[in-house]
Amino acid sequence: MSSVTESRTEPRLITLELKWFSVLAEQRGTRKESFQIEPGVTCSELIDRLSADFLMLKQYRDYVRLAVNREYANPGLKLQDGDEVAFITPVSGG
Amino acid sequence: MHQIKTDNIWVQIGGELPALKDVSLFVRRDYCGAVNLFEGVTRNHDSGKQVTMLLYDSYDEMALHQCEKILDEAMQEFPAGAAAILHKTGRVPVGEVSMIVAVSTPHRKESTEAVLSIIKKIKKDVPIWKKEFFGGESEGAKWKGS
Repeated sequence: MSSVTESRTEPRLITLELKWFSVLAEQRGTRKESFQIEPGVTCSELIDRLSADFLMLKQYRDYVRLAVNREYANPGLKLQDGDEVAFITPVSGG
Repeated sequence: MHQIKTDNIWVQIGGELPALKDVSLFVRRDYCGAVNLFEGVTRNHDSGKQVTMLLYDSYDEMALHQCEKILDEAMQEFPAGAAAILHKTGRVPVGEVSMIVAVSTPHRKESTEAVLSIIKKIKKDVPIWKKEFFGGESEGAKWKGS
């Protein structure tokens, strides 16, 4: 009798450092957190994913900008392992 | 407190603001006939409501980087002799200064235009947020723009 060893490779996840500020930090209850997600996810997809269970972010869907590693990022930018991702609601400095 | 200070650019996010005369001396240049100093001050009202205090939150590292870029652009565009952005974070009660912008240019018109341009860019792109605390009973507080 022969046996076949089934080999499954779990997709490797990437780890992001999420940063929250102002109204989003208050609602989230934290200013930073680690978040794992599959490779190839874009900024826009990350917002959609998190918005599913973070209603305040969903409210800001059309206004929030993402900064990746402290630079504003295009919605289509693919996120990389170790990226620092900040959610920038409309700013009001000055 | 986060700070970048070179020969002709000074950015500070957080911490206590320096004296205005120190900022003026920093931007002053012998070939610049105009030094334009702007102070942003917490006012006691907004949209018909009494305001008692502002609370500023900041993504310090990125705010520092964005302000440096804004000043680099101003140095090239006008051109400025030297320029500075200094912004407090945390609590700023009514009557206290939250931000200083300073620019020197050879002539007065450019110095005014440069300050206005810098402030416009700060309000568009620098990740700093203000929360207004209202004076009336039960009026609470609200993040500006939220």
